[in-house]
Amino acid sequence: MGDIWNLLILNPMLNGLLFLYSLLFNNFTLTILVFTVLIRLITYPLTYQQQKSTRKLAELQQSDAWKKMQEKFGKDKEKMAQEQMKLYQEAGVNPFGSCLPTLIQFPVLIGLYQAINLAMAASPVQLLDLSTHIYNFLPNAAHLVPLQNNFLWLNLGLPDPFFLLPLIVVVTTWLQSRVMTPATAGADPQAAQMSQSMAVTMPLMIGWMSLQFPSGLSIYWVVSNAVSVIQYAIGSPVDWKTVLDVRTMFGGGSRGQSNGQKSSGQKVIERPKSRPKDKAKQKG
Amino acid sequence: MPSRLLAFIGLAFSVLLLAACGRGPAQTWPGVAADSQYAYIAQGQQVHAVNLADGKQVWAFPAATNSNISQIVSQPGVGADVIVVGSEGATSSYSGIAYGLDRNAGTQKWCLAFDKKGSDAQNCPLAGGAATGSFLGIGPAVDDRILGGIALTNNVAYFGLASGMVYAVDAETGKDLWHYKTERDVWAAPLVVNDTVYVTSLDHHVYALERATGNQRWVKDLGAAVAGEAAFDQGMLFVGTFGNRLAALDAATGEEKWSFTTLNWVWSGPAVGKGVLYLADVSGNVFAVDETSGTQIWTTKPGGQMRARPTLAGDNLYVGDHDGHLFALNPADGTSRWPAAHSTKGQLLVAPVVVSATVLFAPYTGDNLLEAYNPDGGLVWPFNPPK
Repeated sequence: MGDIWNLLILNPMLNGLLFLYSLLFNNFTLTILVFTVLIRLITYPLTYQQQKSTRKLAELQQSDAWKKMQEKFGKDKEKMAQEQMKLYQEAGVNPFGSCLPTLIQFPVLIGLYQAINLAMAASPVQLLDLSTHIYNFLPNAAHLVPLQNNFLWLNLGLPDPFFLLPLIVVVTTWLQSRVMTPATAGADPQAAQMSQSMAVTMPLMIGWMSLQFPSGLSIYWVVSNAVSVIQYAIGSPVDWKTVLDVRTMFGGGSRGQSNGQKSSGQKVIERPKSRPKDKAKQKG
Repeated sequence: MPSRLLAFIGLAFSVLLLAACGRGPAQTWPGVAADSQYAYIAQGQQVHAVNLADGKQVWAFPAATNSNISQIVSQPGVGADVIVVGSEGATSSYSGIAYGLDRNAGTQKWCLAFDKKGSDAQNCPLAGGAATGSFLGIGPAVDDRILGGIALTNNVAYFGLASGMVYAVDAETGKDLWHYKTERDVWAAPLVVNDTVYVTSLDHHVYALERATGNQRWVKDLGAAVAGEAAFDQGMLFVGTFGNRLAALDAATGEEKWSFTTLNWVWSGPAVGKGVLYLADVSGNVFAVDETSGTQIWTTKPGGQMRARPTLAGDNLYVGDHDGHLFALNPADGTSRWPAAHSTKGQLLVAPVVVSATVLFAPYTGDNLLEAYNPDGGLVWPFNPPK
């Protein structure tokens, strides 16, 4: 399994990275940046497909038909599942349609991450490992190794001693999750709460990891987050005011896409501005 | 919202997966050295002195593993009364610290740190030229671990750091005598010949330094990284490079006399015997090359990937491979001395050490820290630290 992974994913990426490094003036930071952007562009059709599916699903789940179905069959879970499937079919929505492109992208992104990690070999064992992955026909490969690892105050093979890069990682990861997390209005409150708490804990978790990771990997995270946000903003207009409003961090309803904005010729659906709990109170 | 939840769970899973793929604690293969009485094996948090006669531990430093030292991996430098080892401070601190130990008791005589955090954590004096805090006391991102071996000659220890610094240190007191800066990591023990210290570096260069002062005599660019130790014979210096070749240099001037092309990187310098050089490339090809002309005498591929230099002892040329196979070859033609390769668990990435017909192998990530064989390939004893 490991051999197949190396053959199909890791080795092509690693050698592509080294080739690009030789073209980009032996600047590994620039190489990480350009290579990450290139890979993200190649996988953009999948990203776009995922966004489209997520948007359609969100719109369906905020429609009157969906709400009526929830009110009508709220207590009968089996019947509600059947009705949900019926609505999915009628709207031409696949509830797992946003997951499949994501799952297909994972191996590519993990391969990219591994290739960057491997290329920065900072110890003898890692460099010996690297030697087994380099293509014999790659021009000038022996002269490229080890890669130049100094950039500003950083040694790309070591963690950032000033903790600046981990901070940028936290901020960009948070921004990415704020932009990309689907609106929670109309969602199952439990699921919404979980996704909201993950949107906070994930950036902190990745930031903590980047305190210990080589700073080259932190640069990858930052670039990757930035590209994700830009790609998402191209596919769906982003309401930056809402995204950057920290008051909505812990359960603040919709964000990311602008409320009521038209996209891809879909019917415009107004999203509720209040949280489900507030709504229940109002009814009471 | 099953799809949203699944997407998030997938994202969280991928983050954990990426974390697992990230670099853990700094690692390299064990360091092995020996004198007539003891073998010294440095791996993990300790260095062990092992009695060659019975394979029992004589001492370990530090005595307990719950210390602040996370890695001792460099090949120890062995003197008459003192052993010098290099370590990393706290886990992933990338702080290099050198220790001078009493050869018989394993007790610490001195220590020397190469950056401020290592100095503060271990209460060791800071070496000259060491990295110090530049902004609010926070040190720059410097990797000053001692990953290569330590050469100890006439009570002076010579070694390089991953930062590219090279030090000469008094082995009895720990006083730094001089230091010299190369551009990249020094991963091999310097070679001391007469009044010159030869240093190889990943910056593609070989340096000849004046032994007493550290002043540069000459420097030679070989066009590719040089990770392993050099070898010397008959006024010539032999150096393996990642440019798939072995270079022969005039030791006095650095002038390249000839070059022998291999099929892959040559990590280590060759073993030398009777006018013949024996070397291995990382693909596992073993070559015998005429020392004067650089022409190939024979080649063979006994096993898998090879990193370490072969060891010539008696009538055998010992090599070990990445898959844990141990070979004894006939130096005359490269044929195998043993009916079949011996296998051990772990990777044989360290050059075998031969003392009085005892062949020592240190498997990396194997069941035993050290294994002793007789020249016929019979296991004499395995060593593991007592629990």
